[in-house]
Amino acid sequence: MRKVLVLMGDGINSERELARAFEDVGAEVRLCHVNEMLSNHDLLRSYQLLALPGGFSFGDELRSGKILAEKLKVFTSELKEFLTADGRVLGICNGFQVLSQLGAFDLGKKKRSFTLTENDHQTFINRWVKLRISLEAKIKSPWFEDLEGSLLLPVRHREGRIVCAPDTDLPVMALSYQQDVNGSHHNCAAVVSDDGRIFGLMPHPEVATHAFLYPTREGVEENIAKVRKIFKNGIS
Amino acid sequence: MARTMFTILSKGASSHQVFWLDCQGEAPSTCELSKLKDKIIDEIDQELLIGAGEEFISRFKQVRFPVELVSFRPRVTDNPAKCFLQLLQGDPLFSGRHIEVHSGLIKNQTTLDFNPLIQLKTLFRAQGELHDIFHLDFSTDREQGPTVQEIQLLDLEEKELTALSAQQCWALSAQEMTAIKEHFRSAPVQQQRRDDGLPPSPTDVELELIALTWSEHCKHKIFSARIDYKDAGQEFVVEGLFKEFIKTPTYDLDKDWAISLFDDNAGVVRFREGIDLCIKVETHNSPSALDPYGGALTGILGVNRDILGTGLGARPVANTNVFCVGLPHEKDLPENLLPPEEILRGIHRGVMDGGNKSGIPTVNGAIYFDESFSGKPLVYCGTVGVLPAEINGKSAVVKGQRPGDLIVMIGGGVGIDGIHGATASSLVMDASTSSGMVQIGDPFLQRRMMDFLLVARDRLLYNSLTDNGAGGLASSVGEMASLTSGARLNLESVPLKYHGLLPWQILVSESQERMTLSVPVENWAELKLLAEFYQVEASSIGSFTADGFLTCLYSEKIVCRLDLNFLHHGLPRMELKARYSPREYLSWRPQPRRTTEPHDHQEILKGLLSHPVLASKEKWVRQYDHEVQGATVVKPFDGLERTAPNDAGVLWYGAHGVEGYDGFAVASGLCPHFSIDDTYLMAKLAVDEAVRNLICHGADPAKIALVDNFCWPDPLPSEKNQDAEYKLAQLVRACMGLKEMVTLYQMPLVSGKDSMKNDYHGEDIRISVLPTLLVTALGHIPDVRTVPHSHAKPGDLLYRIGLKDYQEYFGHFLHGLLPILRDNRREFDWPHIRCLYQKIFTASTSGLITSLHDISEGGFMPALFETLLLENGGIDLKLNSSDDVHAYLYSELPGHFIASVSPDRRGPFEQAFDKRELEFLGAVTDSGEITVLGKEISIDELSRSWRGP
Repeated sequence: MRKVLVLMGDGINSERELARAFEDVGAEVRLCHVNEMLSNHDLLRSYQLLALPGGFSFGDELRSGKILAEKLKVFTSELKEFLTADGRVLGICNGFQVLSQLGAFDLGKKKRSFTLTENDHQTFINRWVKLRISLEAKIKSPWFEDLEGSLLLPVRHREGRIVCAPDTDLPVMALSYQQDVNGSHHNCAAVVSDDGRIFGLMPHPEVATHAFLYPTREGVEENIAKVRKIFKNGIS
Repeated sequence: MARTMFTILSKGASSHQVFWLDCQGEAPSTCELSKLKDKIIDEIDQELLIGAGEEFISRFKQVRFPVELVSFRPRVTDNPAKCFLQLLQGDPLFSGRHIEVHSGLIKNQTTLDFNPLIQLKTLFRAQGELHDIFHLDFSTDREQGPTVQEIQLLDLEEKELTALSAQQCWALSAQEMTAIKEHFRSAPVQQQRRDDGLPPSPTDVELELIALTWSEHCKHKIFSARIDYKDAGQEFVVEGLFKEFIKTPTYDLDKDWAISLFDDNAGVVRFREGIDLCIKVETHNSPSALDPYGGALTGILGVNRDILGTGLGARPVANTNVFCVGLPHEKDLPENLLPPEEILRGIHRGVMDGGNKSGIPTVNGAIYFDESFSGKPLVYCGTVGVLPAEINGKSAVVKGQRPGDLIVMIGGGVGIDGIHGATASSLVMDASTSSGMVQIGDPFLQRRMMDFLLVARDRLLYNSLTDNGAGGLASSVGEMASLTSGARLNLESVPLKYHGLLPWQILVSESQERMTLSVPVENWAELKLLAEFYQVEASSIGSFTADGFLTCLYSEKIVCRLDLNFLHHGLPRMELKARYSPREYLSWRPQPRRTTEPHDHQEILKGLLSHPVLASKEKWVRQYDHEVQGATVVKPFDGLERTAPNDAGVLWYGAHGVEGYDGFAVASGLCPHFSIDDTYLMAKLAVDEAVRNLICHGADPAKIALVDNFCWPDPLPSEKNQDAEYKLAQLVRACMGLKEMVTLYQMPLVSGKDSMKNDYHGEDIRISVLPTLLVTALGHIPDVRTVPHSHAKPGDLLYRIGLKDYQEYFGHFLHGLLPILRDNRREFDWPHIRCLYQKIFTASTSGLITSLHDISEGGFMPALFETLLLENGGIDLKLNSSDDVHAYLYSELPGHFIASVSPDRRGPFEQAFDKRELEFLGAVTDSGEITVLGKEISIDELSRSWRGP
């Protein structure tokens, strides 16, 4: 079982529920402040899963995730080493934006392939949406082992529209919205890196862990099983 | 200083961000600066323009002219610039150099609201004109007079004293100014001052401190005043509204779970072992009238800090907000008033940024519209927090500052912002109201502070804390000093945002995101180190003493030395008169009734549902994060593609570190329209509405705490305010109603606030808000897994619960559509309603109720529509011929609900109630239609009216 390091601080604000979601499937989790990770480059070596939760790092100024990604850039070589050692990375919402700004999905390539920008309706939106799990993700990513079909999760963001760089395509689309939520490229809601180890998504699986947290009653138990499976896949 | 400009052009965006970088010495070359490109922009869809002059302008081709450039005025909090600065500070290009950054937006005209009080706007029609923006002056240097001034008042007459107070913005009355004069003239004070090297008259530092401590905002003078009340039937003297109508009835209930009342920053209740809940609701009306965004943002962040400052520090876990604004499309507003739509957009954005960026879910609220709020909007911001019952064996509710502890200020530096905010909120707004009290908050900085504070709390590094809200250090240190009996502050040690602040300004500045801690000397080094790690500024600025004085030093000289006893108890008590007789309400702008009367119930219902107060708020509410922290069980809306509203926010304790499936609910009640009839009635109905909303979602009526927030038109007499005695009588009557409900419902008031100057004075017009009491209710939920939501599904049986009373229409909203007689002066059987709530709770916890929705604005029919909306259900209504149709369908009766019940629970459910309390409506069908008096009304069509264009 993988030990999980969950980042916090600098405006990240979903670290506690993310830690809980991992703990619920039996993981050993440690919350770690960004500054602690940066001051102790060896820390990550003791963990096999790095999770970047949602939030508003640096108030979403300039562009969501941008400033925290700049701060974490000194850590790029450690991150590469971590991935080479079969480490896994999860980025949710703002964590996904940070990973995208870091270029984590395109490590070793010249340019980043996509970015996350303002929703086409230009507003923050919190609602539960139906998603589809892609077959490619199931094949390529350990995060999606034995998972397929649909998934129900809440989105809570203002900058979640995926835009691809000219003449490039996404690494691997992992989840797509069943309806147009924000104008995202091919309704994309989540991606995994080519090797499947890094998983970034805009919706929030960490709050879809209990039936009473859902705004609907239909298909809830089955959905919870899938959500738990994602976290389990992550740590196994 | 050399200046460089950075412009970030974003593909497809309607606005582009601009940063001015002022850098000590020679500016780095464009070539050097362009290395920063990757740091600043996202190469995929952004372009960076660096530099100055024609070259820059010629490259400015993505922008379509004419454009506006909007930037902040000097000294206004500029969050984008602050973050941009953090990004650059670590870069070797600027190492060891002083840099300053300002931000702005270039956008097409008409795209966004602009507020001249805090922003500068430059319009460019052609490219050539862009030169000017390089030269915008952001300098903050000001001319300085002497550092500390003596305020000569020992020989002034009463009139001169009043004039002085008005001129200095102190908002002190003649009586109060005289009390100050007499204090300073006394022989012992004069002797003390000679010993301290202080002048005979007070210094500006001392007078500003007194004015602030004695402001209506801080001392609640009207709620403490002796009031002589008289109406047609009775005459009595009130020895303080707060004491007689709020504190006494609450203490009389003697609830053992209400563990901290009235003396901390929030009320604290213990509904279960191991974890306590704190609740506080604040208003931020005056600042929001001037700058809706900044006013609401600082409002929500301020009440979050109140929670952080409760006990040893609680974690905010839920926000609520209620806005009262003018009607949309109001034309020809008096001078200096912002259009209601613009106000709503601004306050909504402020509350949204405040909650979302702090990671606190917004779970409940309301938006209310009435023409009386065109003069001043009401912005209520509430927060619930969780506090561990114990920290390392120490009770977390008890504050324990001790003499000798260091006074430590954490958070941001002090600037000129917000000076005179507390005293100005005690002044009525007029066309000349100054913008000094406008400010913008920084949720990012506050989030960092919160992360730090909760760790410091768990290590017990401080003995006590409080927030720096209205009144800044003067207020926080002044309050804390009263518990140790003294404090000594060194004003020069207070970190500043920029140079040039006078000592009195440092003391009273309301710069946001600051808290004051009481730190044992031996813990200071550890606390300081921890703060550095979290990148939070922490400064030791003095110490608590036991000498009975609040002393301030500047340049090693005493500039203020005030007897704490005088400061906190020297304020003369107000004596006021209240006179009441029923009278007709006159609106400043009466709203015409619709010219054509609706001819059937479909039309009436559509008319009601499209009223701004009843209409769907989903487009606003969806922009708040409802479920960060993973605890929100009942959200504002249920459903996926098809959605419908709930009545309260319900949260799960389990997300906050304790075992189990219990939770708590928060809801609000507000019905200013009944103030048109009688504020006594309005207050009672507001309490019932808040409680009713909690009952819908399974709250235990024996564990409900209430919070009162009064927003009133000015009840103090003056030449311009001839109606004050009536307004005060309305306040007394509302308090009477509130007290009765506290006693009858057995629900204590655990916290509250009042805002008393909600008027606008124009040249020839006065706009006063409807007297408004917001009641916020916090209740215990035994099991979050079984809470009823507000939606019935086909196959369920539908019931109306409530004491039957359908002879005459009671309510407000039907009057806008039909010419029926308004006669709402009616009493209700409140003890019976309270007993009904107990029955509902028992039925609900026994699993007999599937859904429950309360009947409120617009009456039964709108509630029925909302109950059926989610599942597109239908029902065939059979009316009772002895009832008045309007009364049955549209009365806004307290204690009424629509319940749905599974058919297999019918027997036990019906047995749980009296015949007088229950009416069977029928089975819910899947027809998507309500049939009433032969008319079939489509839910989807109603939904279109309700959702609006």
